[in-house]
Amino acid sequence: MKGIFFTIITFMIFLGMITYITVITNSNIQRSNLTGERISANRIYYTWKSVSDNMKHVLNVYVAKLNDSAEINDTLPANKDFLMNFLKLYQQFINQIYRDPTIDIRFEDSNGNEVDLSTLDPKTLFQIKPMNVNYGYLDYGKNELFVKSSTQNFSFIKKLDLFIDLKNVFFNCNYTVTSGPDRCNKWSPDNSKTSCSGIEYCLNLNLTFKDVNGNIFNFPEKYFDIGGSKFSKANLDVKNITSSYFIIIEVGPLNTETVLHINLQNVQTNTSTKIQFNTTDFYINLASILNVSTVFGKKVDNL
Amino acid sequence: MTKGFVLTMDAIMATTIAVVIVIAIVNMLPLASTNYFDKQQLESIGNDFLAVMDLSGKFRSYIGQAASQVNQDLGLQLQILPQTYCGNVTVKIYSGNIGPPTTFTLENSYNNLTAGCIKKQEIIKTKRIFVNFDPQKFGLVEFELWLR
Repeated sequence: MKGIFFTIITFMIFLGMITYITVITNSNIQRSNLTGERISANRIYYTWKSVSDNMKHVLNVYVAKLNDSAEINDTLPANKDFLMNFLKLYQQFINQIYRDPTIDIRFEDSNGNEVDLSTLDPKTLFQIKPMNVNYGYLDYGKNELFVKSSTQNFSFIKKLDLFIDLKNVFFNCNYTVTSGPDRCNKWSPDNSKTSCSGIEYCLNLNLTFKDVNGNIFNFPEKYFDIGGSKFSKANLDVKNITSSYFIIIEVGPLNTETVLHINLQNVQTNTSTKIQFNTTDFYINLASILNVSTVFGKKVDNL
Repeated sequence: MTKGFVLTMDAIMATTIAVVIVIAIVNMLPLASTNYFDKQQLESIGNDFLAVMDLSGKFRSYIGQAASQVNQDLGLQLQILPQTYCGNVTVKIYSGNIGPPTTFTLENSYNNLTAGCIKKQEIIKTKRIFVNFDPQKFGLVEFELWLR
């Protein structure tokens, strides 16, 4: 009887110890797996951020979301071949130097196919989602700047501020007046209005230029009817040491999805564009998807 | 005779089981330590350190600088790390040449190690890239971290 009692006690003690070890072992295995996954997730996230953060240096464009506004600071124009080669080299640098066998880094289109960065459409380079308002250029020469929106999504735009710092020309018009034959604000056609009252597609635009001498001209026209095929066009008369020419500004028309189009005619500028929306719920994407993956997981997001 | 045999067998079995349990416990205990959390912490600190240096433009500012000057500055930056951490940072700067084949030439390599640290076996490695628009350069930073 005594023997059976001792056997039962001993069995229970061992059973308890084995159960304890099993629990501890499982818990430790889970913890180590979780930590491994966290380290891997960290690695994926930071690799994605590293590639994404540096894209702005490649394009020389700095984009930020500030409450209800998208702010884009740009340097225009660019050397088209230089920029396209830079995009190619950046992609190759990632493939040859940064990527290793344990991590895959791919630029993809919306169908998941690998894309060549230099073939991204410059016209829709920066996409403000979900309203699909685009900031881009005619080509990577960055000589012509566009802000585009569909008619349906135009109502999301509350105001557009554009400050253009002209680096190598000065005004060849009288920037101190807003009327008279030598004024800077000559619109033709002119669909500017005194207010947006009663206009379905009205752009609130604050357009300011600063020339190489530090003179500032702020266009007094603030409201433009851009509905349908209506647009306004101004030729800002500027001059460098040898010749004079026009910076062409077009506001609208919305039937071509154009909100603003500026042709710099190769004038060197720094521009600051602020697109204010009637909501804070938006994000700014580059027109490419970056896929960073390891065997443990992946992050696939727009740049 | 039978009683003795049973007792001996019982003792052998008990000892075997006890030894197995002790070995299992000894093997499992290191997993319960903070080892994995240390690694995670090291990884995060390493990545944050590189991100701050990149986003503040520090790495770009090294382009074209003398090695002695950059190495000294890297040493100063490493002092930001907590006292119990050791770091070894290497900054490599490349120039690219469109091919075919596209090639990258290593132009400069800068390096420094936290003062008073000796490299250990268990290290965490992180890396980050940076680019510079003008002059057109590409950089790779490798950062090794370990506990002192």
